[in-house]
Amino acid sequence: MSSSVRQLLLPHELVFEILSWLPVSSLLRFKCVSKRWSSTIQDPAFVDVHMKRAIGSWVFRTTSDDPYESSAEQIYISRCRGLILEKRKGAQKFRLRNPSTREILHVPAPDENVLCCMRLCYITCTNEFKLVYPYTNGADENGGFKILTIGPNATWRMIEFPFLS
Amino acid sequence: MAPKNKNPNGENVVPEVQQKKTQALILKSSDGEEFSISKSAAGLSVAIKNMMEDDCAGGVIPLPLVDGGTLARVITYLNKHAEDGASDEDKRKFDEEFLSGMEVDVLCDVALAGNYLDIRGLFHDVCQRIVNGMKNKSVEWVRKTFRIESDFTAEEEEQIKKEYAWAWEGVDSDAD
Repeated sequence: MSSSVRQLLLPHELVFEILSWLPVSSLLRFKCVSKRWSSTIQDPAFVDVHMKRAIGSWVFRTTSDDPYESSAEQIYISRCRGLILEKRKGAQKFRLRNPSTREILHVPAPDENVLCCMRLCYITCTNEFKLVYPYTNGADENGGFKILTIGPNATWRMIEFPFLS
Repeated sequence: MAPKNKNPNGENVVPEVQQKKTQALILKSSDGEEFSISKSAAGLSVAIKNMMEDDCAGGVIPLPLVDGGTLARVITYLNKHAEDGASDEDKRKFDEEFLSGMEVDVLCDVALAGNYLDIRGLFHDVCQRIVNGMKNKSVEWVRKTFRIESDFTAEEEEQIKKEYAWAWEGVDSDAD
């Protein structure tokens, strides 16, 4: 193991293990180390392991950036896998925020007037985040759900709710 | 116990008296060094325990992936953790001292050995040590220490830096 000609100090599975214990700020910086490190850090399997390990430190991590204490004009709505769904006060403007990486993603506005009944969820098998809210057509009480999958060209689609009709 | 058991190169060695007293099994390193160890201490390694149970341990267990210096350290650790009457507090203090003097190179060798020999406690502690040592370090320090060559262009690197500029705040200087 200590031959002087060896290339890397650690095989990549140990790099994975060590990275999985680092705080997010270090990981964002270490994305610069190499393409391999960068792709590991962004890999959903890695994110999963990292999140499980970070749960213990979540409370400390967020004291300076509390998920429930959004900036003054934002209302906290829902939270899933480290992402926070927020709504702008007095407007139908929703956004996702990742407090660990400080990234913000604006969500296409829903067609209906959604108060705070929108939820964020994660689909493990497809590795997708989805937003969902129930709606009704005021007059005949038909309704269903509107769903949006987070990703490029995200749009709201409708799922009918047959037993209401 | 660690500080007393050093050879002239400053490496931890297993005391001779102890070797004779508890001789039960021989571990052979990649560079041919032989170390005796009690079965109870060796059994703290899940990998060695399995080899003992499979009876492929005809007295000598070859460990072709662990060099002598690293194996001596691992055995020092195992002996302490198998010691009768060593309290959890004793072990914790020992672990702290045992790891505190190690350079990153040595820590990585011990981590690899701990992983290969399946000694979970040791592996976990060594990884934590490496993590604590690197979390505030610069990208350049990490590359140099772990012998990684960057395959990003200067522009790509600049782009990542721009995106997460705040993650570059409060980084230690590389001088150490």
